[in-house]
Amino acid sequence: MQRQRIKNILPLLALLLLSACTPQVRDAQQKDTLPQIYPDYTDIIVPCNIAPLNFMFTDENVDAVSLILTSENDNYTLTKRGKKLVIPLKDWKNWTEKHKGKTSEVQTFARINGTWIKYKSFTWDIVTDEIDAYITYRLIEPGFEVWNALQIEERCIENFDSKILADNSLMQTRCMNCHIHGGDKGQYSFFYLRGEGGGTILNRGKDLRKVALKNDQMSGSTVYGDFHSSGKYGVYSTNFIMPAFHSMESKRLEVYDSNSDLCIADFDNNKMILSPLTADSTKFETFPTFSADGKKIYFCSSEISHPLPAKVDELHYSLCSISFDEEKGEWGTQVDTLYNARINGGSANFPKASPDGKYLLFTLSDYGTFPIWHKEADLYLLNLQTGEVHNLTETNSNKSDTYHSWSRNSRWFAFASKRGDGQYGRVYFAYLDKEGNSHKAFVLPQKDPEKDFLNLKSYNIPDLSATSMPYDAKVIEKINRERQAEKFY
Amino acid sequence: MKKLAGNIPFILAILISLACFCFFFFYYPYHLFYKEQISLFLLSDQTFFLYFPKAGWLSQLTGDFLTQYFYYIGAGPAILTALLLLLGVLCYKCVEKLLQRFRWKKAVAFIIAALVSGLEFWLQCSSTYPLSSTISVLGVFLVVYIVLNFRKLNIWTTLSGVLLLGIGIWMFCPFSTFQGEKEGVNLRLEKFFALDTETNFGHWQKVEMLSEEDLGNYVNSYYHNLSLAMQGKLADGLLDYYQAGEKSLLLPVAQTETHFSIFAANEVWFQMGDMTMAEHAAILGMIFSPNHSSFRAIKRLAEINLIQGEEKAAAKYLHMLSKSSCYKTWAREHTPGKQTEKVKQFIDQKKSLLAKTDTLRLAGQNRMSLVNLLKSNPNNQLARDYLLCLDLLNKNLNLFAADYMEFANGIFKPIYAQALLIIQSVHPELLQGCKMPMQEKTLKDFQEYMNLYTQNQGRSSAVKNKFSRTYWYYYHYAKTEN
Repeated sequence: MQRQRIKNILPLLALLLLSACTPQVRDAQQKDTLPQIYPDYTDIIVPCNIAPLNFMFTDENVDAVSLILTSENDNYTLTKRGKKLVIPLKDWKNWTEKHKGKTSEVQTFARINGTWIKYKSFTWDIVTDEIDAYITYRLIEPGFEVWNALQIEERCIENFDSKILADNSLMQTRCMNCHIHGGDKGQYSFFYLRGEGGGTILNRGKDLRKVALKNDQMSGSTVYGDFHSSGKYGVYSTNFIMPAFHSMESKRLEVYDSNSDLCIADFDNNKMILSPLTADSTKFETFPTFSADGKKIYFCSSEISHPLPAKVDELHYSLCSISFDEEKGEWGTQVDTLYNARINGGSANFPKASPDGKYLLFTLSDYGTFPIWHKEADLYLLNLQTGEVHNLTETNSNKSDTYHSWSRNSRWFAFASKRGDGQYGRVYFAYLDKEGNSHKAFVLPQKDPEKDFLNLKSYNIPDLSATSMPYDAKVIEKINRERQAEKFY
Repeated sequence: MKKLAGNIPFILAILISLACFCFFFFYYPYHLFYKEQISLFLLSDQTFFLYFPKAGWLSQLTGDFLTQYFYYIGAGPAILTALLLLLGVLCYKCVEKLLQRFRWKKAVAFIIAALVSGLEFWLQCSSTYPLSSTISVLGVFLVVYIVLNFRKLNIWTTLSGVLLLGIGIWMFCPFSTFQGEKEGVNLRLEKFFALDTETNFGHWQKVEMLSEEDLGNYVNSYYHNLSLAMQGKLADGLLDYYQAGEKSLLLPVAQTETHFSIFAANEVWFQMGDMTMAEHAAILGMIFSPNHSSFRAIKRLAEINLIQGEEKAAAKYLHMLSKSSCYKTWAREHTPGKQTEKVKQFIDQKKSLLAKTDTLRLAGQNRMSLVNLLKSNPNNQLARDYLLCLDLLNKNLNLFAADYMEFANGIFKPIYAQALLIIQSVHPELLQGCKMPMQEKTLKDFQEYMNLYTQNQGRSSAVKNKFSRTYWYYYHYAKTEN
């Protein structure tokens, strides 16, 4: 009998103990400012399939925190010891599923020196437009031109799952870069394994291939590239890259090309297709990308200035286009200029066509072809129907914003920005509404919001995909070890 | 008497431990400090999540946790001695238990324990052999000791033993934690670590003294030159010592170099005020270090970003250091808004050295970097000394003439005067407008040197005795890579 009583009391005691450990918001003092939190998730638009927006208070005196989400007549409360508000995945998914298409008001509280502070609330607009569920990026220290430990990681944006697609510690610490997706669901992909015995790993949904995208007429190895919508072709630039150092504080590194041309790879026939129009020795051509329908190639082009690197600030890249005949596998015969850098100023880099064919998203910096360390580098949108160009001021920051990638529905894009600490690139997402207006960007949510503070890696060239890749680091290591790269002619 | 004999192993263990402590404390302290410098252990949830998935997590966690305390004088030798003693005791107990019916069990157990501890002692003398490896071995003996102490052998104790061994491997996994160099005692490296450590603390006289022994090594020369330069006497002592050309002054940051020398290269740029080059070397040194992260590099990166006015980047590094046991005070004192007067002065002094105009240079274009620093701040004595000495060591007298007249015209230093006399005798037109400060003795010596050189048809032995420390001798006979 007595034992039975104890059994009944135990859960009650556990509950009491638990509630005693969880702080409770009492007599909160209203403050008319937004909370100092990292990441800055105040007043943002988020896709309904995003992972929990965990955040932390940055004031070191905070020792307990609380959050109340309100939407219509529903609310959700979370209170924690410490500085971090980590929302359980299940609770978050319930909330976003219930309230998608609506605005959630976020009320936050923090306890500082025993007093609870109630901050000005902010909003999360949970839109029904989903973002592609996966993003890949290269994890690399911002060590300028040298690497040691590199990984290409795929992260699920809907939760916190991740897998390593390639790890150079398994492959003689060789360089790996530019993991790019293609196809209507991002099911195709390629990336480079550099160095002797390396090649391009090509994934077109069947067997993975290791290919050498080079023939005798080409001046160098392929660097920047993109898939044709059919998956049959890839377009690439060949760049001889030179790093140079600025002496002024904060500018750090400038990377410029001493030579760059374009080429197309025919993956079915192992053939490289060149054109004198895009391999002009008087010009640098780089950052090629296909249009959504695959009938055009957009790229950046600049007159060559001498001598380099002294006159690197005279390199101004314009946005150009040239047609492409998919049936014949031929370049067009005329180059058109979409954004003339000599007339309009700046230097255009990294164009990416939206999957709906309406826009071209590109980076504009003062000069050159390496916007990563250019604080002024901002994202711009070219309306392909009207030719209008506008600065995405709502999305941009006073640090480098570049290396963007579209979600398949053209409503979202991801990009790398150094706005967090000026040094380490992080993945940001921004919403583009039906009118073509972009909105405030927010950083990739992490299970522990402190991760970005303690992580010494940059997230390099983030690329969105609706599909998880069918390989991992062990598969890639095996392919690298066992296969010779297929030759292209 | 019998009691004393029974205590012999105990007494010997204490004596050996004492010797071990003294060895690391008096004779070999810099290796342990260096291990702390290339580690990074932060007290945060993130840290624990990083350790847990790994096999051998407990030994790695404990090892890295304890290594951070190597920062304090005496803590490294004390921790290591305690662990080696514990390892010896556990090993002794295990062997004694296994040989319980053997007559000489205590002696055999003692010898085996001493060998195991001795081996770990030897390995711990290596530059990058981690403490976690010793803890792994210790963990294995702990598990074995527990299993050996099961009183009865039945199905339950057998299962418990197997389970315990499994848990032991998961927590201590010795096979995965045997990492790092295993070269044993290396006094040459100990000296480099000493130079690095004393440089870190700005003990320039000690660096000068430590690097005086001529190792014929450019890293040693680099520290020697830096210590002289920081005391304002680089040009005075440059040729009293082994020089390997440009890299004795400015260490190359290249893949052919070690992570130690790559990181060390940051120091001179930091002192001169070229924060881009300092950051470049510091980051690359960190990337190539065994753990790809280090307290020392994070601290330096915080300083660099504070000087550059990049407060957000500095805040990231300071936040990391605030999560450590030994650097949280340093981090607080350097946090903008909470900086002490001393820190503010240090940052302001370094800020005054920053370049004011932008120049683009390729890696290794050191001269361009120095000229740019001097054009922004002609009073940057360190940059001036390095520029002129760089020209001299590269035997580029045309550039020396131009740089001397632009940045040091009228300043007398014996080797500058010696170089000017060579230029005057060969290309006097390069010295138009040069103030040519000269001492009577220098002129006489030059005359004597030239006479001897000519009379002996350029044989080095004729001039070596008296003039081996002059620029004339260096110019004629030193081999340079450039």
